[in-house]
Amino acid sequence: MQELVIKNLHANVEGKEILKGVDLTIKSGEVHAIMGPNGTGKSTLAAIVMGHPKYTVTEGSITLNGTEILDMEVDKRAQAGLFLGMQYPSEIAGITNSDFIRAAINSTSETKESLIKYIRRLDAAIGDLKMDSSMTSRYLNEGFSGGEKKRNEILQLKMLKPKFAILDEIDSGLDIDALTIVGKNLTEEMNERNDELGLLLITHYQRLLDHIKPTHVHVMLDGRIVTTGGDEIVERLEVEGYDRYKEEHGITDESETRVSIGNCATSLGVNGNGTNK
Amino acid sequence: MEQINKINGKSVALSSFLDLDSKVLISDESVIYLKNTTDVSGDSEITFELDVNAKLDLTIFDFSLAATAHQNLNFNLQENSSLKMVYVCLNSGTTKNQITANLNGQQAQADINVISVANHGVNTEFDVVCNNNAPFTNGNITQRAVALSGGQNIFNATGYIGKDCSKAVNFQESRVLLLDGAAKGDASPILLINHHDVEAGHAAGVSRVNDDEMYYLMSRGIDRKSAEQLMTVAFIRPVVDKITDLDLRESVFDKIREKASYEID
Repeated sequence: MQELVIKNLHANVEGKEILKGVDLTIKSGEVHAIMGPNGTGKSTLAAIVMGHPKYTVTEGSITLNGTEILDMEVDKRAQAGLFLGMQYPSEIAGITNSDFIRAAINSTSETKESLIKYIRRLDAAIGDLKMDSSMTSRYLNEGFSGGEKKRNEILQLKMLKPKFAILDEIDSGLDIDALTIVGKNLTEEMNERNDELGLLLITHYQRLLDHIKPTHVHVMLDGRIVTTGGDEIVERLEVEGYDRYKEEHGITDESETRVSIGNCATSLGVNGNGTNK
Repeated sequence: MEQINKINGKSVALSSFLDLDSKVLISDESVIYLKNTTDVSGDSEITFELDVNAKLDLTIFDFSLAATAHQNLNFNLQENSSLKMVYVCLNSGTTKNQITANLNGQQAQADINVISVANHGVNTEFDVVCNNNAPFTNGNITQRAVALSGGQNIFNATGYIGKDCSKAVNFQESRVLLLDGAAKGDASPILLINHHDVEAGHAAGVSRVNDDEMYYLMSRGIDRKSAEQLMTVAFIRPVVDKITDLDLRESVFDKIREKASYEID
């Protein structure tokens, strides 16, 4: 049984506080989904768990099986068993997909995999994801469509077999068929590696969660997880949106803030003319 | 040219530059591999004369251990002759190389490629000049280098198109990738065009490794040094791929990886 524990996590980017105390525990065998409006810190949370250097953690801890990971560099975290399926994977010309994945496997696994075994496993995974077999010899994500890039992230997940995988909007850019394939692969991966894999899905849509059933659903607003429950939350969100949660927690929309700045500016102008007061 | 043995119309040479004659006449289709591993400092100059319709496929591996090396390579191309050259420079000391191609006859074409990896204590400078001295000539210069751990690499490229050289083509691209803050690089492009009916262009750049790309590689467990090796190979690959012989390509990649993983104790 593996455990990823996030406690009271506060984080800044360029001096602005994005995470304001996140608590989250994921155990292997569980599928967590984080939902929430744009700009509430979901992707930031994913990037911080993986160790993106852009963010500064000001308070709190993240432990993997009891070991603090916040002082580890990103490669060490991956070697410890974390994986982040990126929202915008980089394109790197000159490195073939196959060479990249092999280098990653050699870095993360203790036992060295023979080339023949690697190729067989890669071929099988590519078949599972209904990807084109030319994918292996193409350069890493270069010229891939949005959907191909996302499938390539899942391919890496299947090949690297991490302990915990965070998938940041893996459903964006996927057509309905591709979404079904990705969902099916994730479900199979969970079934096959039930005691060794935990998933954290960041998504805006119910659709992905129709294909891979979450065990826990969290709503994130303004840098905090405000509600946790089962998949009944997903259905309720589809109908009601986030307004109810925002009201409960006294959070105002960014767009409303923008209006108030406009008002301010207007009244200043009026004052400046000296006609209002 | 005693060091070059003819094999089925192809020529193979493995030698130090200092042993070579100063003039090499190419009159047919020739494939030449030249390897320089000398540890003797010094200057050398070799001129290749490409006869009418001659073809030269030249690959140079410069692994010189000398403290200082100055090489001048000249190519004079007659009508309808063609040159493809890949210069792999993995020297240990200070290198200053001048490569000049003179496209003297119509339809002559030259494709000049330079690869360099400069690590600690290495100072490499290439001056590549391509002169289109006749109409319908085609010249191309591609230079790529990776500098790291205090190494320095300078690329200068000059393209020249003469007055009466209509339909001449002259392109150049010089790029240096810096792996760390201690590495230095420079790339300067010069184009001198004296005719209106030509095609020409230049590109030059010195850049750091892209942080997002490094993060992506490292997020899969690949450590920084290995990621830098991958990026080095990726950066230089388009030029290495111009080497005709596949086995040689692989050995060049191996040498590049070795040099890119250099660490200061």
